[in-house]
Amino acid sequence: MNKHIQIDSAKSISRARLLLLAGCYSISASAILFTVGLMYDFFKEVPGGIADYIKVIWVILCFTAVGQMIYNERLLAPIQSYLEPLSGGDRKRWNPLSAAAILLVLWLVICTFIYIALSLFTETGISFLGFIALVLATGLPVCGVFFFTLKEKAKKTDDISGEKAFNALLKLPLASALFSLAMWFFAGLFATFGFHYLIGLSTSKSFEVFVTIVCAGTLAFPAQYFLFKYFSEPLGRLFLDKDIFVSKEGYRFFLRGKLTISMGALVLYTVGFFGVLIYSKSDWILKKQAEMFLNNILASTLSVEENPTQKTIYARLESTGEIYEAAPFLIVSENVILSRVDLPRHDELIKAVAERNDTRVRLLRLEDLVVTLPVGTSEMRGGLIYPYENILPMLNEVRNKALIFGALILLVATGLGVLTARDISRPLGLMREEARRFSTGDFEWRSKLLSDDEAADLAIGFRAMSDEIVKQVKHVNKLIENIELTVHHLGASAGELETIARQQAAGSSQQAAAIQQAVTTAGEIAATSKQIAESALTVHNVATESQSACEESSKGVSRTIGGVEEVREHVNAVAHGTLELGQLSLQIGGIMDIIEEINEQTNLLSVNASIEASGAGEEGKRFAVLAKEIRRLNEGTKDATDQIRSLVDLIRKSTTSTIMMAEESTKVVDSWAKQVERLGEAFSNISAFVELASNATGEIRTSTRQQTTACEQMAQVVTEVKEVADQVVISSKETEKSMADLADLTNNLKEFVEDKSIEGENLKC
Amino acid sequence: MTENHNDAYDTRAILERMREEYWRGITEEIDEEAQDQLSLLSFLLGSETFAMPAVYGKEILKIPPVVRVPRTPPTVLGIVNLRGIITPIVDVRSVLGLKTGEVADLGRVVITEVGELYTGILVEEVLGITQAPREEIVPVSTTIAKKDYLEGQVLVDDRPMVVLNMEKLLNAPDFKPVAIRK
Repeated sequence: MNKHIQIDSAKSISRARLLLLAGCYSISASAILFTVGLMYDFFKEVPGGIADYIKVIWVILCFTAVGQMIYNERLLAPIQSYLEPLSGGDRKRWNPLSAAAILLVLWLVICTFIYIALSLFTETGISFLGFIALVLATGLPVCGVFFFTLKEKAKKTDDISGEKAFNALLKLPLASALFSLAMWFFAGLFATFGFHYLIGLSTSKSFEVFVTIVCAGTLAFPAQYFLFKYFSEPLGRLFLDKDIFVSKEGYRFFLRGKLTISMGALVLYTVGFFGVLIYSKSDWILKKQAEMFLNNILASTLSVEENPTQKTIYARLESTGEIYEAAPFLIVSENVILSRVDLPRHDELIKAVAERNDTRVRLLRLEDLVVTLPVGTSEMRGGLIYPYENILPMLNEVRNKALIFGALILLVATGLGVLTARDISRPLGLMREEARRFSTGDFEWRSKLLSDDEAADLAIGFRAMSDEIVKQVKHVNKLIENIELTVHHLGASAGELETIARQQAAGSSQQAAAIQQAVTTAGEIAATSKQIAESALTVHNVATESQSACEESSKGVSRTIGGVEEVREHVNAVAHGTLELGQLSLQIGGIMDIIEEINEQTNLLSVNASIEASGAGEEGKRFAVLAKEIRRLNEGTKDATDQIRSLVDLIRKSTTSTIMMAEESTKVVDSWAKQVERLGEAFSNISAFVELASNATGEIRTSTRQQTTACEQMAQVVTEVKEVADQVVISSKETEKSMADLADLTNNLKEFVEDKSIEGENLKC
Repeated sequence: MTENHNDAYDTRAILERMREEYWRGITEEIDEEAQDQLSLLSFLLGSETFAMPAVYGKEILKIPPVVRVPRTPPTVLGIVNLRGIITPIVDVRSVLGLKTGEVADLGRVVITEVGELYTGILVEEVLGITQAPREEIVPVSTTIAKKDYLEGQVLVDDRPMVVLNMEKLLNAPDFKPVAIRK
């Protein structure tokens, strides 16, 4: 819901702004009117007098106001599109080109509207096609300027944050006033051309009009800017503070705003209606219309023809060729006008003519006559006077056109009012429908959300309320179902309780019998207890003897442990000695290696000696014998060393086996020691157990004695219990009766709840 | 224990035997008639029994640490400094076409002097000096070695023994770059 508001707040912000600016514009418009009024005296030479001026200004104001509103809307759109992400919306951004195209079309429409309005009041001298060309000639530059401005704006807003966009929004007054100035310029251009072609104003005078309008626009520009800045802003804030367009959540198009528009439509309607009424009835307005008409005629050159016989003058309009009958008169001097017709209030006429004091076309209408001044050549200064009736049909035509225009205004006002009223009433109608359906039991139907205002809030609230009510009703239904179920269970439980109470009564009787038996048994227990106490004493004595025997055994075991320890030490000593023996035999082996090495070298020596001996020839033969002897000895040594080596190997082997045996013996001895230790532990455990047993038997003796006493007391208590049990039997009977009552009550409750649930059925949906 | 001792080693009997041999040695006369006897230095090569005239032999050594010489054939194992004489050590087994292999603890180097050149020959085991009659040396019938380097064969104690021709052997092309002047 919150998001919903945020999305539409962006839309509402532009609407609110737009309305605000429209309001501000009306203020600036009055200021401009005031300025123009002041300037009137200065530019009083403009034909047609103040009426023409007001007319022109009105037209300009109309289209600048509409144009500016459009401009503001379009100017806001790009900025708006950057404000929207802040509020969560994703409206499509305006394309500058399409915006410019729309502006051009609007311009065409507005100008066409103005053209039609002008043609109602004046006899236009230009064709519609020429008018369109004029509009395009003025509109296209404006649209071009607008297009490029918008493009620049869009480009700039591309890289600004939402906050900056908002600041740009606050700069709107200046931009707005600037645009207004441009509008004034083009409007002046447009109006001047209009004067020139439509009224037939001379070129120099048209230029004067243009300058006048542009001056007015230039003067209005600062006024408008400051009004916007210093008046419309606070006024807007005042409005904003008063929550007309703004809620706490953001900008929003509220009911009050809608009502304000609809009231505005009403006012427009009323004003339009009365305006048309006054316009069509007022003589003053008729006079003005006639003046305007004749001005139009006399703007062209008139040729005056005198008919001496009938003493009348006919005026022929050169542009159209129409001939009017007129009363001729002559201006004799600056202040004296001679007329052939004797007119009532002639003096006034003369006075009025004299006041004008110029040679321009001037028209005055009295009660029943229309007098024109002056006509003709410079030699002849005079005018035409012809009857009022002559222009009556024309005036009627004007009136009819005014009525049509008024009808248009009324149509627009009515349409606006009806649409706004519908906008307000439709959601309310839907809600009424929803409420009606809800009251008749259709809980599911929901109204659509057509608008975004308080009505929507109301609808949403109503929807939430309906949902809650439906939820609650469902909840209540469920609750009733639960109660029904519970009551049902209660009934069943009451029945069960009744049965149990009955059983209880029967049980109590049995209990009494059992208690009698208990008394007897207690006596028997007491006797048995005494016997137990005696047996316990005997056990105690035996236990004490066992304990002393165990202690002695324990001591013997300790001695055994000492003996085993000695054996182990001996075995270890043997192992150690054998090990040393092994090492010694290894050393012997090493020494044997040395002997073998010596033997080897001796052998080598003997061979070398033999070689030497053979080299020495005959002399060496004796030496060869010696060498042979050495060699023989050598072989003997080798045999001896081999024998020693085999003996040493034998020693080594037997040493290894001895060591292994010693290790095994150690292990065996260790296991002995462990077993003996365990035996010792077992003895000490036995001793402890026997002590415990001795203590326990002592306790048994004591407790058995207490038990005997307790049994006797118990017998007494049981007798009392029996009495109580008798009472329980009585009270059980009473409980049974109460349960029966409860069952009845439950049945009643069940019936009641069933009634309620039947009623509740209606609430289910 | 005593029985075991007697079985294992009869010290007394052995001592008796040694003394008898000594006495016999004293009484033995030097064999004068063996005029045409050739004393041979026998050794093992490729598990076969070979011999060379003992006159070529100079000395028998345990295998000394050998310094390898680069760019020499694989038959030359290296050189040793023999009391100031640089002596090459060679392995003749491949030259004779015998199977080669690692030499065990009993391996020796026989230093020979052939044509004023000292050369050490690696052998697998030195068997000793034997006497053989010169006429009993017959041409070789065995096929185990190249015949070019063999003098002939002779039976000593019913064992065939191949006598090497040392001059040819040590002048074999395999050792050409090896010879070093004294």
